[in-house]
Amino acid sequence: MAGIAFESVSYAYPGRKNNALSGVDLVVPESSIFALLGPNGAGKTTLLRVLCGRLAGYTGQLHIPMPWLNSQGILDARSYGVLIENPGVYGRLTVLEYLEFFGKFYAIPDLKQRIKILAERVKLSELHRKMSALSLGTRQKVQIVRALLHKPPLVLLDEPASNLDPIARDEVWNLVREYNQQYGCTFIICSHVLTDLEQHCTHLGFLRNSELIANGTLDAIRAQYPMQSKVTIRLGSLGNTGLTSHELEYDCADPAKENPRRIQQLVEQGADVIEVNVARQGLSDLYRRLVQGDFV
Amino acid sequence: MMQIFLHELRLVLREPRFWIPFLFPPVLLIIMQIVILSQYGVAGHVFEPKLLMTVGGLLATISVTLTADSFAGERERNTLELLLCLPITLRQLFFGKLFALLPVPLVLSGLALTLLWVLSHQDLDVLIKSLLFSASLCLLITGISLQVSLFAQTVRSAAQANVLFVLVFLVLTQMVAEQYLATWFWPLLVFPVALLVFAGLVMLSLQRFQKMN
Repeated sequence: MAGIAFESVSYAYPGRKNNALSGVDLVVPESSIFALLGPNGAGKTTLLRVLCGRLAGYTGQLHIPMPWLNSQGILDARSYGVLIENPGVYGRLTVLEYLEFFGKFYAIPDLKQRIKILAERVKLSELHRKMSALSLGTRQKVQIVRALLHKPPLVLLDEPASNLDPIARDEVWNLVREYNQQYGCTFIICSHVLTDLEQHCTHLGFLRNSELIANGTLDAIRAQYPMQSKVTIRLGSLGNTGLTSHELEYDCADPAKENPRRIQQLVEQGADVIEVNVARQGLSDLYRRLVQGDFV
Repeated sequence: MMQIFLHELRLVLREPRFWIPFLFPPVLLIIMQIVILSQYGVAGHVFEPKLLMTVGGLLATISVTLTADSFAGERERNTLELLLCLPITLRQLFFGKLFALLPVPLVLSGLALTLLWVLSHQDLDVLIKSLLFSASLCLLITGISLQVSLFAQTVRSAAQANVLFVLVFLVLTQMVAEQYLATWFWPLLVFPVALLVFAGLVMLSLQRFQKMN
């Protein structure tokens, strides 16, 4: 599966001793929704800026699909849409003027109609209001519409969910999934809202202190970094198990192996097993353990 | 480049704090003229050739607010990053922004000087020389404040740095005004020199802009 590949990419900002990226090897499959995770200052935004060709002087290799490149061999600005974190706005322009200004650079046919369709998708109804009069959440919606205006094959979203209420977040994620499935858009998303990422992203990359520490699908990373699952077995009669509670809880690394053995043992001791509940550790737990270095 | 130019021009025209200062000096002078004429008649005429040129110089200096906002302001508001991600070259972006800085001060100072000239019954020579002076100063000030704006992190720091050389230019205007207006030699020399200096400063600024981004 072709896509974007970073090969030992390192970058240090001018005048700084420490690298912002250190030997990053990362593959972003084409048409994936890729979540880039890591604590503040880990290098996520720098990685996106390197990809956009905004930072010259990095070492290593960056492989980008040919159709996305410009004549200088860097990512063509027409090939990607970007949402930067906390983008400024031109307060004197209306939402429509703002979006038209950006849209005109991409020669989008029937631009106004396209703006209206996208605005409706994210419930952005205030097209004639001044940008300065918008709430932060509405501004964020405007920026998301702007990034998707020209239907780019690659979309980079830095904190897309910031300032959005849960319903607006769902609308944005639905739009992301629709673009991914309908047009095959590749998304690279930096966010700290891990529940959203776990639900919607197909691949993940974890950055810590400028280094990539894990990369792949969530299942692949889970397999690479096994974590305990919490199992709860609810019992009717306790039989001669010697238990005093009707709920038995334990942590185990492989519930598929451990649970049948435990259940068989309980049944043999005369207990009635009513319910077995396995709570797998989520992305949030994995994130915490990875970035805190618990697996090292 | 044209889209950036039109966008920048629209932002300037939509922002009253950018163009209102250009109206103050001529409006104040016209009010003074009306008041003095009503009290003293023609004998109390406030306009001298030198005054017309001074107003031209004063209006030219106001262009620093535009330049400071155009580059330092964009960076401060975090709006520049999105422009840098557009499918245009840095050169197109830079010149689109730069060319949008000139029409407002040039047109408004031209209009103001012409209006004052009509009211002051001066020779046409005085108007043309004052217009040339105002345009020369506008180019010089824009060129210098462009450099300042590219180095400054905020509009405020750019404006503070600009005040220093603006004061120097205003004092110089007062000192050389009579000599400048006396013949055609200085106006015809100063304007091309200002154009050349402006071009040099713009090229330096372009290099700086490309290096920064």
